[in-house]
Amino acid sequence: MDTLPSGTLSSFQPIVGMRDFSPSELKSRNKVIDSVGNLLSANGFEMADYPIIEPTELFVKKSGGDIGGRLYSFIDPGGNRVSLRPEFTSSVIRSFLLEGSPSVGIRRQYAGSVFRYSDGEHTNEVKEFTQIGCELIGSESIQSDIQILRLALQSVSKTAVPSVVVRMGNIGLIRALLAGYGLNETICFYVLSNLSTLRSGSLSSIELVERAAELGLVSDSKEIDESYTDLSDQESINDFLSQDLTGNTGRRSRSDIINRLIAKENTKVDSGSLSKAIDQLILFLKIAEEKQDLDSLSDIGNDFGNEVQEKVDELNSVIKGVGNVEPLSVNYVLDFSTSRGLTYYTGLIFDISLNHSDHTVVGGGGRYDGLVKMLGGSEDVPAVGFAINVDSLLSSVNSPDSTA
Amino acid sequence: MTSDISQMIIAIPSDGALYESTLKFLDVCGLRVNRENSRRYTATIPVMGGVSILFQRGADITGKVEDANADVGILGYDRFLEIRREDGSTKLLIENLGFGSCLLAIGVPDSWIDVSSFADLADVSAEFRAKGETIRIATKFPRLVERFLLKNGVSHFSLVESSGTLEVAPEMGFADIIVDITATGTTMRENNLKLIHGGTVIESEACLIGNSESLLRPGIQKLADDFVSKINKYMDSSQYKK
Repeated sequence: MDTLPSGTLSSFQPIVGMRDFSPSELKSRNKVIDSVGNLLSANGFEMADYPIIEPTELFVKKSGGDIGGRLYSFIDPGGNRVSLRPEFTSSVIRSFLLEGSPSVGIRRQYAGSVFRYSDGEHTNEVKEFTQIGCELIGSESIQSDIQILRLALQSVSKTAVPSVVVRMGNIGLIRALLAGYGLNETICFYVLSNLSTLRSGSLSSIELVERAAELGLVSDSKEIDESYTDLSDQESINDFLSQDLTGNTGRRSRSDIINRLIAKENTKVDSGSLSKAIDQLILFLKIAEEKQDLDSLSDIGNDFGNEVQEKVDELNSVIKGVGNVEPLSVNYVLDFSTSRGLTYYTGLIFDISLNHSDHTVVGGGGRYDGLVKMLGGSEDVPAVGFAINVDSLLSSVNSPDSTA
Repeated sequence: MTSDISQMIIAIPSDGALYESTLKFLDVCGLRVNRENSRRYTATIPVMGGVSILFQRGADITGKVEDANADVGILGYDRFLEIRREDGSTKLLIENLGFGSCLLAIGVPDSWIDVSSFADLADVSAEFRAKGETIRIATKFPRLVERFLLKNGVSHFSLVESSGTLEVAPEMGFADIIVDITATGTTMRENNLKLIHGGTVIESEACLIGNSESLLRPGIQKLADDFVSKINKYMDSSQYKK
């Protein structure tokens, strides 16, 4: 058919943020996928594939606000709440759990479309893009961290990008720093979710503690003193129940409510501890940002503890272990406030952007030792991986034919 | 259907709190609406020839503007966000008109004394799930509520879409909690519901929207410019400035 009748299909446009790929563009994309795929295969990563649609809960669970708010989520014709995948890692881990694979040395690679909605001022951002990446499940060694970062850089290099900036941090270090103040997992999650605002100074430590109190995450002394005290024995609980727990409780039983209330009070963190932890965290972020050179942080443990020192040293070892990735020029930037919008990371974390861009992230990854358990595993299984955005990388190079 | 080329149609709320306040707002902008009969769904603005007022339910105004059955519309920003099509023809002309302030907020039963924040509600959602149940949320704003819940890490819920009075839903047993518009929280309190910290889905005011294609048509463009100009003039006046 040479032409379309006027006023028919020609009026249809792709959905905002989605695009067509011409044969030549597709050829370029497939060339990168094949090239990176071969690199990963040579390193023992087997190609696997996963559904484009998964239960929404898989992605929301512990992934944090950024990704959850960008899901293409809907109720399918069968009445299930499902989402287009925004990333592969959760599916890889789900599959790992279902397979009942041995938990040592599982290596998977994947490639395909992922979908992330954006609106408001970001509404014209690309919402469907091609990821290729890999996951190494079952190894906690630093050699695995080194291999994953090196493979990520080698993968980027396959697109003939001459240089990159790698923004690196270690979520484990932040967790170690917070743990020293007796903060529980919930409050750690809260602080991790606000790392970038703390670093930028757009939210002060006082404001962050106040907000935590509003959210009921830390002890609000006034509220506790007036209404929630003295729930330590059955008699006072009964008194409390008879006085305050009146009215229709719906499908929640009175014991559901009171048990949860007691558990909540028992796990609340003192606001003073949170305040001290955040002040110390801000101080650490400032020092790390100013010094930048990991070698110059060799005595940071004196002020922040041995575990923090270990994580800094680990990071140094990773960079030295990766070495040169010629012909790619790599510029490392220390940034302990990066969390990649996916709060399941537990250790090494990195974002890769292009030197000549405005920090457009073209790939990244890190260590996520807790995700297996979060998704239903009986125990933590160490894991580390990366993914790169093929479309974003290709759009940054003028000649796709120059691909190495 | 498109509106008459010489006639600009302005859709305004025929119901709810925004009905009276919109008429009052237009009045102070020098755009008094003349409705001859309260049963009529059309009216005029005597100082502006070529303009018709169309009274519509707040929930229908975005659709009327999107379909070019009206050229501009005044409605709650919350309603606009709930109904708007991202790549549609409707655009926001003025986001905050300075009246009709309200919250789209979560209301939970007073008797849930363990729930004072969204973090608590996330726990309760998990509690329902552990029992093989799903927390049921009654709302007229399913699209906004779903995005809000997912963004805040809650994925196990079911939405009970209802156009009626939501505040009674938990008492009647067809929902566990509600997400509804509230200005002061009074109606919720009177129905044994309470607001929670971090439970505000969106803060909203009345806004002005327009059909971007209609607004380019000869005649309509000038009328719309005149209409918006009169509103802006009032909003820029010293006594109005915030």
